[in-house]
Amino acid sequence: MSQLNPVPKDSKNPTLIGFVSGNSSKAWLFGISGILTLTLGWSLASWTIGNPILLPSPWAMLINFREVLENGTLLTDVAASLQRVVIGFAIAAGIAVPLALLVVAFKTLRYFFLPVLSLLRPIPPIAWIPIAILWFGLGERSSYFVTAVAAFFPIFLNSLSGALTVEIQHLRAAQCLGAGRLALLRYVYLPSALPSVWTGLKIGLGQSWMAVVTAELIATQSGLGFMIELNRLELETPKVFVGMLMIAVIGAGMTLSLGWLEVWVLPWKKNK
Amino acid sequence: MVSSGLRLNELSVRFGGPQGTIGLDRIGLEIKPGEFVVILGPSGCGKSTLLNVIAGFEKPTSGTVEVDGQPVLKPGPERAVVFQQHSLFPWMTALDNVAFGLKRLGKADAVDQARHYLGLVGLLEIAGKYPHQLSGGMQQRVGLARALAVEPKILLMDEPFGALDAQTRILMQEQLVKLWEEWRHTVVFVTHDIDEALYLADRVVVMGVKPNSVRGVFNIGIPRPRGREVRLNENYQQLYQELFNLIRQESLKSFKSGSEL
Repeated sequence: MSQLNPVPKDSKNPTLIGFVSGNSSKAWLFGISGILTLTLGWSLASWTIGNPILLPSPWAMLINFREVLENGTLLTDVAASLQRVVIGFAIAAGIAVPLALLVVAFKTLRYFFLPVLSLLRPIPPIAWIPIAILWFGLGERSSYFVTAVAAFFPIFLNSLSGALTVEIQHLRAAQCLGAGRLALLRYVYLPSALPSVWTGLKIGLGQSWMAVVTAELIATQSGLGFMIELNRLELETPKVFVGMLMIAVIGAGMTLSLGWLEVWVLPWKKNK
Repeated sequence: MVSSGLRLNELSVRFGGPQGTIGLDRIGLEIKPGEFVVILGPSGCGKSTLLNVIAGFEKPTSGTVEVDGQPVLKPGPERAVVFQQHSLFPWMTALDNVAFGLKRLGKADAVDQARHYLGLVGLLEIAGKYPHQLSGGMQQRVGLARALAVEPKILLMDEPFGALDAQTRILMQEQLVKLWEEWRHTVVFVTHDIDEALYLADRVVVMGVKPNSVRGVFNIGIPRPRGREVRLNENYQQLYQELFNLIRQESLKSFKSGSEL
């Protein structure tokens, strides 16, 4: 059976907001300049085109941002999307991490599961949406399913590759100190895999966030994806942009905060 | 502390099935309770394999290992190991490493006992540090404390000081002997260093290559406590020469056939 190709277990997976992690003033300066240039270019383009339905200006977007913020619809939509991601992501992590550890610790399970998972992996989360609607109807459960599917593979594959790097000497040390199978899983396989598990969780959360928006475009009546779609139909393009900006900011914020949490989750990795 | 005797009967290991390369060739050995035995041999003689079999990490192709008449089937805390590379769990502090085995044994005061054992190797003050923050010598002392903490009947040591610098190595040997003279638990210690063997052992078992079997067993009659000046002892020097010649012969075998190069 073909190999599952784990995402490289390098925890510095590049993100668009990677510049923030470099703390030199130069990185900040150029990073902020880049964002300003984008805003400026956008304003120019909007002014040149002169059609706010095709491309509203950043200013128009800000005004609309204030409007949906004040009437409360924005927060409702953000909350709806976040809730779906959190639940779907939690389901995925709850299955993927233990499964990866079990599959590494027990060869038979590996032979049983890996072909199945290799087969399912190429199906993109979007392709699950029609069947999710069929099974769960329009609404929450469909979007939990889709966000869970999106997060599952990055988490599983990274956890798997992490657990496979477990050192034989650590296993032996634990065994000769009296560790049974369960203790090996909990105290040796899991911590050995944890840096990669963490990478998987970071990628999985990002995937989940992208998937929820996609699911909401089609399968729900609330959330940021639904808001974008609704405002497109009503030709309220500035609000479409507000929705997109929220998706961007929240997605970037998730990646950033997980990066900060890392020191706390992997204390033995600091002061190297 | 209760010590146990160890008995190896016609122990053979072949890598890659019954027709594979010979790792160990019919090793027979009896170790008395409380004895400090050093397995000495050139690289490639299978001394680490022997230790792995005694520990229960590897299964012998034929023959048996018995502790107090009971066959060894799997690893367990009555045969704790100090490894060549320290093998501390990098995700645990020094204290948690030492407490690990005690917790597996269900000791209620695991952490307090762990502190006690860290104190025995003189490392109480680094209890909260992670292994990567410690020097090589400290790592090995934590490894020793971790193994001692589960009160093994037999302590297995696989070239534990091999990666340390000469000075640290001597200090480690002295500390080990001091602890052992209080406890008198059975120790099987693997090394390729003749001085280390003579300083530590009650008995030295020399292993050779082709076949990987026992070449000679030497009783080291040098009285304890042995100071560093033991090297000036006539008995020591004579034993050193004998062991040196024997090891040299064995080393030359692999040297000439190029298997070491």
